Amino acid sequence: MEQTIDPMMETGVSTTDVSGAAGSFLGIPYGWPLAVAVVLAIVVLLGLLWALRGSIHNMGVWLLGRGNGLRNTADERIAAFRAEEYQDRMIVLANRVRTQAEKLPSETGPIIAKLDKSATTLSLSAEKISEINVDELAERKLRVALDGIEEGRGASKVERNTTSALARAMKEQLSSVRPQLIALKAEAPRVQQNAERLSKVCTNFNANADRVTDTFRQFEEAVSPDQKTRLEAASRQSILMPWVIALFITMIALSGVFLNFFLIQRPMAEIVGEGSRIAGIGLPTFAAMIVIFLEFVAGVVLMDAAGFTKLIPTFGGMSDGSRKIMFWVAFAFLAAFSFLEASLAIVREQIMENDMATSRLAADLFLQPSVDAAGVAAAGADAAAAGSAVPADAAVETAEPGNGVNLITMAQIILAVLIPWMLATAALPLETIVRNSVFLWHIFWANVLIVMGSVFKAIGETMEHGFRSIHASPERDFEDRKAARAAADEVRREEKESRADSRRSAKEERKAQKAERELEMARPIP
Amino acid sequence: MKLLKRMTGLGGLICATLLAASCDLVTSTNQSVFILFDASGTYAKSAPAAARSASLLVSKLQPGDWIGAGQISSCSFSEKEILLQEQLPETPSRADAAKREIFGKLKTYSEQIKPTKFTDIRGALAQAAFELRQRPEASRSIIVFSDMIEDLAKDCNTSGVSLDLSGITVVASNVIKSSPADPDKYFAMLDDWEKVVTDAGGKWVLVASPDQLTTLVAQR
Repeated sequence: MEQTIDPMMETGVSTTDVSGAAGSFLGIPYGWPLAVAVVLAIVVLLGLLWALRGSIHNMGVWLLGRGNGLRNTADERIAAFRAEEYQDRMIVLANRVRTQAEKLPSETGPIIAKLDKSATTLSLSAEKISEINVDELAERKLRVALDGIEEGRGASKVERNTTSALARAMKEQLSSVRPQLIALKAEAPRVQQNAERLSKVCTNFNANADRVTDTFRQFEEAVSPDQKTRLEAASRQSILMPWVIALFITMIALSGVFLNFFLIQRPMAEIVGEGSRIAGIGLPTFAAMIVIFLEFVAGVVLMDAAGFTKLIPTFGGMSDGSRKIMFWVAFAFLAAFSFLEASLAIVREQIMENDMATSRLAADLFLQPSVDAAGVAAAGADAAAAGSAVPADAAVETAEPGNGVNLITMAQIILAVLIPWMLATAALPLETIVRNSVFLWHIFWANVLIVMGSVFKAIGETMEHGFRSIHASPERDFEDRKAARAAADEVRREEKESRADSRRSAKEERKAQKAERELEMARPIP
Repeated sequence: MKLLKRMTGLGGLICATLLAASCDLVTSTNQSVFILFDASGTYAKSAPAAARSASLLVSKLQPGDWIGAGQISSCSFSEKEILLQEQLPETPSRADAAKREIFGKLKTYSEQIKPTKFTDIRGALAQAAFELRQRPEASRSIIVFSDMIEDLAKDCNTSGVSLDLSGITVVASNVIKSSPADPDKYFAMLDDWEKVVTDAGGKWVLVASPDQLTTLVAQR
């Protein structure tokens, strides 16, 4: 017989509890109680907003002022950075133009000398050719031919005689000027070639000069007393894109760091020992991290000393000699780290082989014929001395893949040697990341403040308008308008002060930059 | 000036973090392990297998770990029953060399073991616990290779001895079944020993295979 089961009885929940089982929000059951609670909450919220409308509005105004001030400061800083960038570029271009100008005599001198020589050759040839007097020559030859007619020869013979005499005369004359004609033929393309080279030198020089002019114009815009021009110059190039690219490159470099970390973490145990933890991190791991940080620091110093980055302010004020010393010191450190890592790569392989051999020995020892304690230790020692650290029979087994192991060790060594230098290059995008992150952070907070300020201000104004529409009276309206005017004046005054502050700080920054620029210009170019 | 202020703030933060962490800044991960081999007549023939398991365990120890070994004899609470006491060197290569020496000692012991008439397990546990308490390592274990059948001599009755196994893990390994016809007796005996160990403040672990033993030691 089929038995029917009440689903409510089965679950242990009675039918009266269905509404409760349907769910609740913050302890209020769904349905009309929740609807009443929501309406009440909205009313309370509106009441609160209405009561605090003045404070909310003032807070909005204050936040807007702060946000705009922060944004202005950020823009001014970006403009100052751009000015610095243009200044650096200008110095580089000016140096290039100067170098080019210094090279100009040596570049153009031979061309001009060749042109001069060609001109002389052409002139001489032209003179020689111009000396030919065809009329006189023809007349002379004709006369000689006419003398032959008087001797009683025929007219046709005379004509032939005359023609051949003229041809001979012309041939003689042409053979005398042939070298000049050949010279003319040879010099023409040479002149053209030299003219082209001169034109190229001129174009290059002009292009560099144009670049200097462009950069100078951009620099002037970045340090212009007019705020609008300055901000336009600041916003001409993206802050975000270089930051994203630099971040991407740094991420790749960081993956190299991880790779490096796993390469050196185990063998570091041979240097610092195992068994201790520092702040929860194993000692070899900690030591490996320190080595990587030191490599990175050496890389940063190297890049700064080489002038590729400006992460360390001290290098800006250093003399060229001191910077060179720092460069070579950092270079030596990186080379030493490279050597250390290569050694650790070899040690790593040895440790792994040793561990494997010990584990195998532990398993196999009791299957072998009796060997005393000294024998076991000696077998291990012999194998270790042989380089494989594997005793007796086990040594034969590990010796088989010897070539493979050697290749792997070589690959590890190459990787270990390269990674410290790769880490050094990670310092290049780091500068962009640090600087642009600061800019982006300022811009982000400025925008957050502006949005919050706008929202608060709008809420305050909406509440105020709503209140006015409910309690409209001319006196109250007049007082409110007066208060609003006063508040607006206050905002304007604050904004004006903020702008004045920004201008003052920008002026100071420009002054500092100018001084720095003068110092830079005064420094002899290496 | 701003930079100086920021640097000072950052320095203060780092100092505070370091101060907060200084209490547990440097800790040790080393462990101490004491191995007990049953030399009684019923277990002596299993000594090579036990020594092999012990060697596998030793091969998984970390540099800096401490290893001791003793035997369960007729009257085990004695220095005479201690086979070896050694701390592995801190560096991996030297630790490997030391491990190989220990393998040799264990092999020699397993080949030259002299069976004893009685089995004083409590005395051996007390001896091992005493040795381990002298060690600074936080993690301490006693590995017992025995059939866990206690048979006390009249002149060495340690059944009433008070054991202090607090902070020590007692691992019973390779516990052979001496009476295959009576599994209940075997399990009851294991339960009894678990009670003895836990009552003494220790932790009881039963390991069936050498692999489990090495995993257990490697995890600690």
